[in-house]
Amino acid sequence: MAVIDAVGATRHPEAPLDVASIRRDFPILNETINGHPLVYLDNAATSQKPRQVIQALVDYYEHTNANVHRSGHTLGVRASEAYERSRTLLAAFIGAAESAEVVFTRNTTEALNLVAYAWAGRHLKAGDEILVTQMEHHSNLVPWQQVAEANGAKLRFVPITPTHRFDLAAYAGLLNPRVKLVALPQVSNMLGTIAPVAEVSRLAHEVGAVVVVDGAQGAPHMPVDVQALGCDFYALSSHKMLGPTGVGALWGRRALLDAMPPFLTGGSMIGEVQWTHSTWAPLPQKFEAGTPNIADVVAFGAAIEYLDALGMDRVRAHEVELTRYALETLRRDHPELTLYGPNDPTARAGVISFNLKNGAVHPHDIAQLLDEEGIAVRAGHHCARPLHGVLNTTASARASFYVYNTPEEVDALSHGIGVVKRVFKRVLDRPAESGA
Amino acid sequence: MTNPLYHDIILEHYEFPRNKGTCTCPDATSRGANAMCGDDLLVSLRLDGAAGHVEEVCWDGHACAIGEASASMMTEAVSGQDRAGARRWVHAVRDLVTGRQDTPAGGPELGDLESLEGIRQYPVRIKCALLAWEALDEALTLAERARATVPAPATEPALESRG
Repeated sequence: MAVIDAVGATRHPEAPLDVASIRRDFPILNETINGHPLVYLDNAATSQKPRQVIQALVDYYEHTNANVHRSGHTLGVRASEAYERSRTLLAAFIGAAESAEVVFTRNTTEALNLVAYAWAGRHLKAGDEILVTQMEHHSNLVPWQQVAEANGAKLRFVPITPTHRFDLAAYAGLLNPRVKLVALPQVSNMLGTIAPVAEVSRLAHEVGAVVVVDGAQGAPHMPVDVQALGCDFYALSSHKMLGPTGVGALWGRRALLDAMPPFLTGGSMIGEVQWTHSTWAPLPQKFEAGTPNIADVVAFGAAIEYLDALGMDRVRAHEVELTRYALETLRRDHPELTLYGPNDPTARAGVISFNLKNGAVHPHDIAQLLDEEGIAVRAGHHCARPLHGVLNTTASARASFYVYNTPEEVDALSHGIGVVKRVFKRVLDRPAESGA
Repeated sequence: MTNPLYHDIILEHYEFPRNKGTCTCPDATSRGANAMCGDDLLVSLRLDGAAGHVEEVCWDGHACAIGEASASMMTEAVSGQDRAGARRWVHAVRDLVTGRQDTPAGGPELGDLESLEGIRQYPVRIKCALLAWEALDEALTLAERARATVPAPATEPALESRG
């Protein structure tokens, strides 16, 4: 397998990311959109892929492809080793005690569903409580709704504070011995808010509850150590962290995973199969039924190596600075913008959702006009519809950053918002009315 | 600077929407929502006494500029039309925004709605432009059903009084 270039990794811990060098690794950044250079600010939806990851995928199919964990021939062994190498890389990346605690899934959603079916579904009884937050992405809300409905458990919501942070005091007030599960996002995909996971875990364990973290927006953007976070389960997606789509992972504590029944059953996850009864393979195989997405898991390993070479501390520092610059720039150039999320860039990730004059211009129109300038943002409720209700709006536009974004691209975003304001001048110039 | 999509007429309807709200005593309401972008419209309509014509049609809710302008224009176009005419409008607008050539002969003069022609180049916005129209189509059907179940004026024996 090709060794990953240490791009932009001068390895001096204080040296910032060499973004110009990083950008040269991403072929898609050369695209022209509607006559403009692509300004890709939709990283919370999915990230772009460096050539090292694309090449790993090609290399796998050209030199290594075979089914895994089955065949003893050379290619089979090669493929299995490449697949397991990604697991080891990911386990180290998130601070797992052992790689057997890392299960590959299709995405974060599937990882969370795995916990919902194989842990919560079996453990929650009528009268038990599940705590989630108002900030949840639908994938960390709907599965718990289903469990609550099926098992007669009660779903309760930890609110956000007026400054859009996790309300730790309210959370402590909601905890009681009936709470069996706490689920929360490490980073909100709409507000960018970083939750105090370590404190949440500590308090949850005092009442005997299990903690499930939706890490989809966390793992790509900051160092993650599941031991320090103290959580019991952590879910993530490859495609949001420079890897291919179709791969996610669930990390869980061995004691919990060992005690859980399988989620999907069939080939690969069995121990011994008889006519009417089967036993299960040990971890992690127990939760990986059927032929996995081998090639993309292998390419995911290349993404992890790329991020390791950059250094997640430096990735985080880059985003804090870019977010700080973006908040300052947007506030200065467009005072009419509502910018959601905490003001403090160190309390949030590089996800900035916004509205123009309280929704006087619909986010869909904002996104359309930005797209005509080559700028890709997301518009809608970002799979967080209930959260938008809490914020007294129905939809927002969202810009989200990653390792290859630059201050110049923030300037382009600001300029683009100026274009939106000019097209909609007549609407924006009207005096404010109530209940628009 | 003229934007091919955000025609002045569209912005005018967006800024000064016609017939926004709910009809008095509607015969039917129908909701059009686009889960992906948060557009959510409610179209209400009332047929006249003979259930032949659209007496009043209104729209409410939130949508993007295209969705709201189209809803506003819809209410202007369809108000006072007979039911067949209202449906011809729906077909005409569908054809306009999807760029189909086979507009039926005898279709209505589009007027303000011509401003939606630019949507053809933006397939992502077709659903926005048609949101109110699809809701109207549904509301017409619901209104027709509702009115069909109203009993005919009584020539039947009066009901026995229930003591």
